[in-house]
Amino acid sequence: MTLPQQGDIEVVGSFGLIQTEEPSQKAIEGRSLGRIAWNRLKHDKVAIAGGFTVIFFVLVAVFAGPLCHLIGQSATAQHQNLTDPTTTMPLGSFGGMTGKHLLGITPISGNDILAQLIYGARTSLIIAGLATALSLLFGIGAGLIAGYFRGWSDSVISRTMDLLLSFPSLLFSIALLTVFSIVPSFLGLSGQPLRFAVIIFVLGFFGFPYIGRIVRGQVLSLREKEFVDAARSLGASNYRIMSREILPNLLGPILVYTTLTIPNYILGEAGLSYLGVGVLPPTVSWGGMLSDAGQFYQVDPAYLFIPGLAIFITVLAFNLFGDGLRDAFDPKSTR
Amino acid sequence: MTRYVLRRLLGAVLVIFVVSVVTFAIFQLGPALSNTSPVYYYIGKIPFPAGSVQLKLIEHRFGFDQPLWQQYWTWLRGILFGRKLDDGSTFVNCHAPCLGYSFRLNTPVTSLVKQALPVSLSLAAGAAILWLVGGVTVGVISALHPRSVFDRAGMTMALAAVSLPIFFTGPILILVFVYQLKWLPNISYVPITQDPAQWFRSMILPWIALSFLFAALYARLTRASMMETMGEDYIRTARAKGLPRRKVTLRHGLRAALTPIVTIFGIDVGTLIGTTVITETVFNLRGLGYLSVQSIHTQDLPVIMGVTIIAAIALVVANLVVDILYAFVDPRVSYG
Amino acid sequence: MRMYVKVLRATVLVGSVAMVLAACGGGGKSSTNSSSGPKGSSGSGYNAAFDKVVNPSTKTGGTLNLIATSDCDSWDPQRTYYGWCWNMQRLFTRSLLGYSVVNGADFKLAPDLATDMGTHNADFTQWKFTLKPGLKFSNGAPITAQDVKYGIERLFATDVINGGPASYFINSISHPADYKGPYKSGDLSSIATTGDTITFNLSTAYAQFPYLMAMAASAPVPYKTEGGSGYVGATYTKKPVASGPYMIQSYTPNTSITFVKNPNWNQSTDTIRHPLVDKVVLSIDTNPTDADAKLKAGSVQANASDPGVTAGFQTQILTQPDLKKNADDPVSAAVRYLVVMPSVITDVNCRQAIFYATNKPAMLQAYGGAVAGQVAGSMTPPGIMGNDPNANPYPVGPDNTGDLAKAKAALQACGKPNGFSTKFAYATPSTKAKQAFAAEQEALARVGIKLSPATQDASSYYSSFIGSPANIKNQGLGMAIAGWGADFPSPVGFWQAIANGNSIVPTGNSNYPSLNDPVVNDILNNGPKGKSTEDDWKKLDAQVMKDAVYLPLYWEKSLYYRDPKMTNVTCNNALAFGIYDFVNAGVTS
Repeated sequence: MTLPQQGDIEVVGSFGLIQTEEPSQKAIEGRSLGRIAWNRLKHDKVAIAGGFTVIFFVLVAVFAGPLCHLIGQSATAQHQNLTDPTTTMPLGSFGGMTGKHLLGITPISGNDILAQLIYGARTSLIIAGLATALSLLFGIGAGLIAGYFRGWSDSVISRTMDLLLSFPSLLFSIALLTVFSIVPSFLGLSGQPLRFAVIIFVLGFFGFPYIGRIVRGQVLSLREKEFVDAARSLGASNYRIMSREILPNLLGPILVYTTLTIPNYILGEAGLSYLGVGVLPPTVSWGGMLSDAGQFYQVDPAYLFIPGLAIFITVLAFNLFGDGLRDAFDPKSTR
Repeated sequence: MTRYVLRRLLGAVLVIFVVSVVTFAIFQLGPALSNTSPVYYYIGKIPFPAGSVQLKLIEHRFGFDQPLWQQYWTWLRGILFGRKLDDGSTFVNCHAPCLGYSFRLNTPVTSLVKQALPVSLSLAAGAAILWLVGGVTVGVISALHPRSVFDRAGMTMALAAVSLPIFFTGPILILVFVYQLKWLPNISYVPITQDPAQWFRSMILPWIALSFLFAALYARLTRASMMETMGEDYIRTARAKGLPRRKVTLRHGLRAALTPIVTIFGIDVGTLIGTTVITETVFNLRGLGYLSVQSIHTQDLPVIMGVTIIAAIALVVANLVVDILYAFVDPRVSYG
Repeated sequence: MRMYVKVLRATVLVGSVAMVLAACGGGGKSSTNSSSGPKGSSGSGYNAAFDKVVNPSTKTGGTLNLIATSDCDSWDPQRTYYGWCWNMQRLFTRSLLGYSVVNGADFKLAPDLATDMGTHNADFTQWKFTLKPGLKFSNGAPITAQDVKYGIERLFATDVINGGPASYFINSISHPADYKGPYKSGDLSSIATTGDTITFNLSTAYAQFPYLMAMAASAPVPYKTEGGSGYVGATYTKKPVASGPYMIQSYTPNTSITFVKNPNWNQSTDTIRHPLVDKVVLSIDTNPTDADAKLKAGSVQANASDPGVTAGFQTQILTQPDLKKNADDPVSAAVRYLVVMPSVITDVNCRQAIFYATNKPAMLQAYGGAVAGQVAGSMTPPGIMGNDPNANPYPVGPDNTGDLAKAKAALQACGKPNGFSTKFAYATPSTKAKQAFAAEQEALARVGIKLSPATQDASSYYSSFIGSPANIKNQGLGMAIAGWGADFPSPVGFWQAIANGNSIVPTGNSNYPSLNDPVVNDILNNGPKGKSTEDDWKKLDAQVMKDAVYLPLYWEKSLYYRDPKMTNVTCNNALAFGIYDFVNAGVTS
C-alpha cells in the first residue's frame, strides 16, 4: 500500500490509518519467506538500482572525511575571495563551478558545495537512521504489547497512538526545538548533540504510532496461528513467544517499513532545517543548504538545484528500493 | 448509533483538551527552566527591572501573576464561555470562543486568525481539488491498464513526486513561471472577495506545489484500491452477466474503490489547516501556518494556543465526520 | 535601540545621565533653520540622498505611494518602537522638539511645538518649555500643555501602553514608586503645567532630556478623550489624533493606511516640515519580492519599512547603472559587534587574540556584503559624537582580514599558545547570524581558537540569554554577536546602557560583558552634569577598546531604492536607519 508520510512535513496523519486495514496479512509463510523475497527482489531492476543508490549514499556519509580529502576541499573552509564583495554572489558561471570546486561555491561564505553535500549526507543519515530506530523501538514495543495482550493494555496503547496522530506534530516539533534551545543541557547532553537528540526524538516519537499500528495488526493475526498455540501448549512464556515466535515473523514488514520511513525522516529533517530549527552550524544539512539557497535562487539558482537534487535522488532511491522490497515480500503483488 | 456518535464526540473533545494542555505546558518550560519572569520571554522589548511597578503591571495584564492552572483555566473559560479582555484601560467583551489577546501584537487572537484563515482555506481548498482530480484520474487509468506505458510512467512520476520537498519544488515553480517565463507575477495573496482573478493568480503556484505531493499519493492509492476492487467477485459477476466493461468500471468498480479514498481525503484536508507551514513560508502567504511559526519564534503563547487548537479541531472534526459517514455507508462497521 | 529587523533591538535603559546637546550647548539656545524643505545641498546619483537632497522641488500636490512589508508595531505614538514607524510618525505627530536635519551624520534638533529649545536649571534636573500659540489637533481642539503632559503620562501605564521607549521617561522623570499611569493613578504632579508652559521635574540630572522631547513618544494626546469614544488607551492605535501636517484618513490593519492633509495644521507654526503632497498612501505587502517589483516598476515611490531590498533586487541594482543611480546606501548610527565576555575569557590577552584573529570583511559578507556596512575599527558609529573613522586600536591588516602573528603573540601572552575553546552565542532563526558564526569559527580556527555554537530564539536572546550575566557565566558563553544603535543620536544614548557599570541588571541587561571600568563610568556619569566633551567621548571609546570586551565589526548600512518620480528625497539617518524622510517628499506628475 502507500507509504506512511509522517516524516514529510506537510503531510501528517492519515496514511497510517489505512495501513491497519491493508497490511499484507497473507505474507506469513514460515522462515523461507526471506529467501523467496530475495529471489523476487533480485529480478526487480528498478529496486536494485534504488538499492545501489542507497548503498552509495550510505558510503558517502560514512566516508565523508576521506572523500573530502580526496577532492581536496573541506565543508567549512570559506573562499570569500571567490565571491563578489558587493553582491556576495559566487563569481563565474553556474554558481562558481570550476575544476577545483566541481559543484560551485555557496554565496556569501564561498564554501565548497560538493564538500557540503558530502557532509550533509552524513547529517541526513544519522538523523533519519536514528529516528527510524527510535520509531521502531517504540512502535514494535507498543504494537507487540497491544496486539499480544489485547484487553486494557491494547485500549490504552491504541488510544494513546490515536491521540498522538491527532497532534499537530510539526507545530509541536518546532515548539520543542525552540524551547530546547533555551536549555543549556538536558540529560547530560548540550549544544550540538542535544540538538541532534531533540530532532531525532521529535521525528521518531511522533512517527512511532504508524509502525505501532502495523505491528499490532500483524500480531493480532499471528497470535491466533497454530505455531503460537503449539508454543503456548509447550509451556513457553509470553516473553518467549513474543521474541522467538512472533517477532521473527514481523521482520518482513518491519524491513519494508524501515526503508520507507528513512526517506521520510530525511525529508523531515530537511524541513526542520529549512524552517531554521535544524542542526547547528558548522554541521551541514541539506535542508539548511536549501534554506540558504531560498534567499538567493533568483540570482544563484545552481545553489538551489544541487542540494534539492541530492535530497530528491536519495529519497527516491529509498522509496524505489522500499517499494520493490514490499512487492518482494507480498506474494499477492502482481509484479 | 447515537451512542457511537456520542462516544466518538467525547473522544474528540478529549483529544483537543490534551493537545491544548500539552501546548500550554511546552511553553511554560522556557521561563521555568531559566527561572525568569515570562515577560522577558513573551514581551522581550521591555526590560523593566524585576520587581518594578512597570513589570508587575505587565505581568498582571497578561495574567502571569496567577498560578499556572488558573492561567490555563482563564484561557479555556474564554473558549467555552467567552470573557472580558482587559486591554488595560477598558474591558473588551470577547464572545465565546474567545482565544485571548496576543502578547506581542496588541491584538485579539481571534482577529489574527480571521485574517489568516481565508489564506489557509484558499490554499487547502484549491490544492485539494487539484490533487483529488489529478491523483484519482491517473490512478484509475493506471489501474485499468496495468503495466501499460501510462501506468509505468504515471507510477514512476508519482514515486518521484513524493520524493520532492515543497521547499525545492516551490522555488523552482517561482523561478520557472515567474522569473523565466514571466507567465505569472510574484504577488501576495489577494482575497477572493476583492478580485477573484487576482486571487487565482496569487494562489495557483502554491496549489500546484502543495497538490503535487498529494496527487502522487492519491494516484498510488487509487490504483491499488481500484485494482483490488476490480478483482472482487461481484465485479466479475457483473462482467459475466454481460454488462459492458465501461459501465461495470464506472458504476460498480469506481464507486467501491473510491470509498477509502474519500475517507482519507476528508482527513487530509482537515490535517492541512494550520500545518501548511512550509508552503506558506516558500510562497510568502500569511496563513495560519505562517502565523503559528512566527508566534512560536516570538513565544506568543495565546496565538500559538489559538492556532494549535484550530489545527487540532480541524483534524479531529475531519476524522469524526469521516468515521460517522463511513458508519452510515459501510454496513461492516460496527458501532460497538 | 529602535526596532530594526536587521539589528534585533534591545531597549536602552537610562539610569541617570546626559551631556550637552550638539544643538543646544549649555542653555536654551534655539537653533532655527528657517529655510524651506530638507536641509543640505542638492545632488543626484548613487548614495546622493545620504547627505544631500535629490530632485529638489517645491511642486505641491499629488499622491505619494509607499509600500511596507509589515504593518507598524503600533500607530500610537507612545507605543511604537520600529525606526521606520518613528519615521512615519513624523507625518502626523509633532512633539515639543523635533529634528530639523535628519540626513548626513550631523543631525540637528529644533523647536517644534515649543517656542525654543527649552530652559533648564543649573544641574539639569528641571526642564521648562513653552508652547507656540495657535497649535491645533486635527479634530480642531487646541493643543495644550496638558495634552503634552498626558501623552507622556501614558508611557507609565505599561499595562496599556506597552511596546514603546517608555523606560527613558520612567527612569528620568520623577514619580511616586507606585505611579501606574493616568488610567489608574491620575495625573503626575512632577510635570507641572501652567497655561502654555510645561515644566518637567526629573529624578536625576539629565542634559539629554531634549532628545526625549523629540521622540514620537512625547507627542501630545488629547487629554482623557484621546481618539474619542472607543479609541482610548489600547485602542488609540486605531485612531490616533494628528498634530502634524497629515492626518489618518483611513486605516485597515495589515493592509493599508492613508494620510491626507490636516486642515488644522499651520505651516507658520512648523519650521521642520514642509509637506508637498496632498496624500500619502502606505500599502502593506508581505511579499518582499512583490514589493521590490512594484518599486522597480514605479507604482510605489519607496519602501517605507526596513530591511531594504531583497537579495535579488540588490544584485540588479548593483549591476545595472540605470537602477544604481536611484539607490542609496546610507550608513546609520548603529554598529554590529562581537561581545567578548570577560566573565568567561578572563585574560585580556586571550580576548585580544580574538580581536586580532577576526576576519571583519567575512563577517560583513555574512550580513550582506559591502552594501550592508562599513568595516569599523572602533565602536562609535558615524552620527554619534566621538566617532573617529581613523581610530583602530587593533589593526588587522590592510584588508582587515586579521593579523595572525599578533593573535598568536597574544595567545602566547595569555599562556595558551595553542588556542582555547569557547562558546559563541547568536540568535536564531536568522540565517545571517548563522553565517556570521561560521565565518568567525573559520577565522579563529586559524590560530587554534575553537568555537562551538550556542543559540537562542531571537525573542529572548537579548533579554534573557545574553541579557543575563548569570546565564552567560553558567553557560560559559565566551562570545556573542549583537547589534546596537542608540535610540537618539548622542553618545550618552549610545554608550550608557552598554558600557556603564551602573546599568548592569540581572535580566534585560544590555551591558552584556558587565563592563565596569572606572574611567568609562566616570565619563558617563559626568554626562548628566553636562561636563563631557568630544575628547572625553573619544577617550571613552579608546578605553572600552582597551578593555577588549567589544569587538566592533562594522557600522550598519542599508540599500534603499527611490522611485525617480519622488522629489525632495533625503535619508532619515537620525531616526530610521536611512529610510527616506517622507514628510518633506513630493512627486512629479
